Amino acid sequence: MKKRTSERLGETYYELRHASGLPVYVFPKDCATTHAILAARFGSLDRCYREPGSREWMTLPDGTAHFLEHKLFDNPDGSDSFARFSELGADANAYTDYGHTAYLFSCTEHFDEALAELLRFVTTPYFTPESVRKERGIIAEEIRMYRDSPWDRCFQNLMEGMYRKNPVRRNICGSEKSIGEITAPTLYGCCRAFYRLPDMVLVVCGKVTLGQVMRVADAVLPARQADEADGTGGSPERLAVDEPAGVFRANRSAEMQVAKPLFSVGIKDAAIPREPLARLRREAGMRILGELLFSRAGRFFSRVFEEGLLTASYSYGYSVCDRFAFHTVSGESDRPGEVLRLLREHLMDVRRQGIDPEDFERCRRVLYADEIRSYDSAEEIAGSLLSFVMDGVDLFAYPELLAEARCEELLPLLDDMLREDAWCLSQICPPAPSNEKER
Amino acid sequence: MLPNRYQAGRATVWILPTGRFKEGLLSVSSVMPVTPENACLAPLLLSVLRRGTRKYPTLADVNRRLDYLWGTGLSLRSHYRGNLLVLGLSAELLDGRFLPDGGIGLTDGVLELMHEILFCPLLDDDGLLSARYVESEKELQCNAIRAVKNNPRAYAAERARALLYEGEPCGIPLYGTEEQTMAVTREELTGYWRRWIASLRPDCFYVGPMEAGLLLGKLTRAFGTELGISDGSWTMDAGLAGQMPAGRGAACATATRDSAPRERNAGTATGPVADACSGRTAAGETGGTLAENLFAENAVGTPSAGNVSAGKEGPGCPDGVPATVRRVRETLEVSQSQLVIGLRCGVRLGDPDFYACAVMNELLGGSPVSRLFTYVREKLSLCYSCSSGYAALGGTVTVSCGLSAANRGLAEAEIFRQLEAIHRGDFTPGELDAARKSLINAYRQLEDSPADLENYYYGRLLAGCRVSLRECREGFAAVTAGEVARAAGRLQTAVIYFLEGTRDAGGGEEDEDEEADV
Repeated sequence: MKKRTSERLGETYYELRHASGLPVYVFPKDCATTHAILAARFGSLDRCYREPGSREWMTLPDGTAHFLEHKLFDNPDGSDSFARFSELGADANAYTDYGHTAYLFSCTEHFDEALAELLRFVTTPYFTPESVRKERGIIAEEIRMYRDSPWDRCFQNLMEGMYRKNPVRRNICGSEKSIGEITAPTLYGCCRAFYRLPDMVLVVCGKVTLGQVMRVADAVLPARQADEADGTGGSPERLAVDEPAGVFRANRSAEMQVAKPLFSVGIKDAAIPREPLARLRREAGMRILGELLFSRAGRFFSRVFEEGLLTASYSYGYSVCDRFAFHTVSGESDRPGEVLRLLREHLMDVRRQGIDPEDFERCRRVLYADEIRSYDSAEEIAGSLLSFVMDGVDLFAYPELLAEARCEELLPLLDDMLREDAWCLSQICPPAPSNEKER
Repeated sequence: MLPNRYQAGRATVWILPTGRFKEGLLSVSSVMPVTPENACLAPLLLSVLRRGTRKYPTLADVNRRLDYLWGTGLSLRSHYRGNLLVLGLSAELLDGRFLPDGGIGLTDGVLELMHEILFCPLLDDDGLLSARYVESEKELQCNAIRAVKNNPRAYAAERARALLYEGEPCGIPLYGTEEQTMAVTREELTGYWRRWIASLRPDCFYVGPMEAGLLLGKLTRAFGTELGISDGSWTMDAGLAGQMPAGRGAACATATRDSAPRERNAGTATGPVADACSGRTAAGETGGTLAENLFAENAVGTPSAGNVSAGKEGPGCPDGVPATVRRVRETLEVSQSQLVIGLRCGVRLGDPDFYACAVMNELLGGSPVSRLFTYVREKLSLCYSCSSGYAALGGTVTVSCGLSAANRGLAEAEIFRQLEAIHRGDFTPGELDAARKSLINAYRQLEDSPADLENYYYGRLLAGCRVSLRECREGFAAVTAGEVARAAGRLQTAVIYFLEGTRDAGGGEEDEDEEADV
């Protein structure tokens, strides 16, 4: 068992591998809610794989991980696990991301029983042709719902513009056509390949102890790692993608019913360190830089907002994992092309003039404060811990890296951001003829 | 745990002491009745005030100041609570114990900034609010009005809400109309601001670790002159429980959870949602205290008789929608249609049937095991989302469903079939128990967030209730099957709104640019 403590935050968590091979992380926290997540390293990016010992690559229809997430709540006895959680007063849910699928619940009582249900239903797949067929209609409506959201469309188009081969360009839910190709055997195959306990992660945060969690795991999960017992198994191999450093297309545009054009600028980061801590260090630097360059307190936003080029609807962020990384800057503007031009100009100005140390400190202060405030919610802590575990780093490493960051370390990162072929603009414009979009 | 109440001059302070959080909450709010003038001017004014002050003349200056105050989040507050419009500021303050400098000057700094925003806006030489900021914020407010259509689900919900509450104050759209907004002059807005601060009697709410005396001292220094509390003579009384007039209702809740449908899968679990509307009408002038506005309130708004089904009693008249029900169909070029059914139950905060109505709603469409989710989505596969929300301040229940236009008839019939089943008492003890537990769990979780705690207790202040979170949970636990069936029987369909998507829904859009991955 490993105990990890942050003096800075006044928090501790524990990690331990259960006899079944499942890695378990417990973050005790004095709050009313306890939050638990059981996650598989199977997301929308994992569409081409082969099982250990096999020479054949399998290609999954788009949206398979998400489809599996929907169907896993069905039980062999015909019941639905949502109903079981509900009997316990627990609130269950699930989501699919690019790199993983997570099943979760929060509760304020009956934690042991709810955790047992979580461990049981995720490790007991049951699909029939009929239940798979019925789910297609539900997921088709979900796809349509996202398709009608201009911001979701704008982001999806951005991914398709930035990436040429990386499956991050594909919709997590798939398309109405691709989900028609998913069958019960497809789903069983995915469970066999990606839902092995040693490859999964259990994270719990709340008023619980490590011993309490392990006792439930002992009661539900096998006492030995399955692969050891039968000599087979092992993690599947994912097909590596040779993604070019530059963006696929610099401009993406679509028409939808919007009051004003929406846009997202993406800046592709192709220099992703393989080593997790180095990746986290780069992330800390990129986040400080993003705050410095794009925040509402900064020169860029101030200029374009005061000139009336942007509305109050504005956001920015940096996303990173081992398989992709990018900055986004999004907003509403009648002239997205002009906003893009000013944004590039601003970054070049900062590069020429250097980073103001006072600005650097301000931004680091903001990010540090953000980090502290994220430790009030069991849900947020569990989510962050899962994300860090998936990335192979200690949760408490991030605030330390923020504290260690130096102003001069940001300039090489800024150089990477300034590469011309790293930029992509996605816009959603009102339909013609009122549309005055730029090309 | 109930907040303690302190009073001095024109300010009332509610303190919920707790050292559990790394981040506390401090808000300054006032309420005014919803009128066409307030709905348009109040949010516009707040945006102009936030734009720049004498000491921090630009938005960037204000934002930089917040950054130095350890990234304090300062939110503008302009929303409806029933027929009240809440206007104010809310700040999330980090606990100094977790900051390298111990948080020295943090609370004072935030209060100083709040004071600047409320009382010291940037004025032009003619003494009026900055022309540049007023014109800019008018444009932005118009843009916000137009942008509602960007989100078809929110747009459909807003259209249904407007129809449901037509003729009532809270039926007036927040922000008003584009025409109203563009017609606002600097003189008008400046006069509105001056009248507002001259009569301002705010309620301040604090959830956090600071000792009451220390906080009151800081408030005295920050707002002493304007709020008549310079002498710092605060009086403390018995708190929320002692201040609420008896008989205002031992049963009440904000709609934090009540109207928060949850969705299954894809990480879209919804958080607490503020209530949209209520039937209460508050008296009092712009900027009056809660006590004046709430306890002098003159009437409980009743549904317009013309909109209520006069037909047979029952849950939305499932055997055929009566002619008095308002059916509205509109089109939008989207692929998914939206069906929204507005029903009146007449059960509001303070009504003894509140708990039964909340449990009934949870059973109907408030959870992933609800009737609507189970039958309309899971069994019939008609949609991805189908849920219901109980607007406890307005006495209404709204059912929302995103679906293909072709499935409208089936979905509508199934929704009414489920309403009828609940009215007949055709649900299992297990379903009832699950609905009660779901609400109890949700209300217990409110204790984990300063913002949720403030939202809960402030909501009760607005409704004049004396119910702690624990008592509220006990209320849900005691609801019986018969009470749920009776609550369903009070539902009367008022509006069936259908936003028909006119874009071809089939086939999806494949990316023609795609390159082979393998």
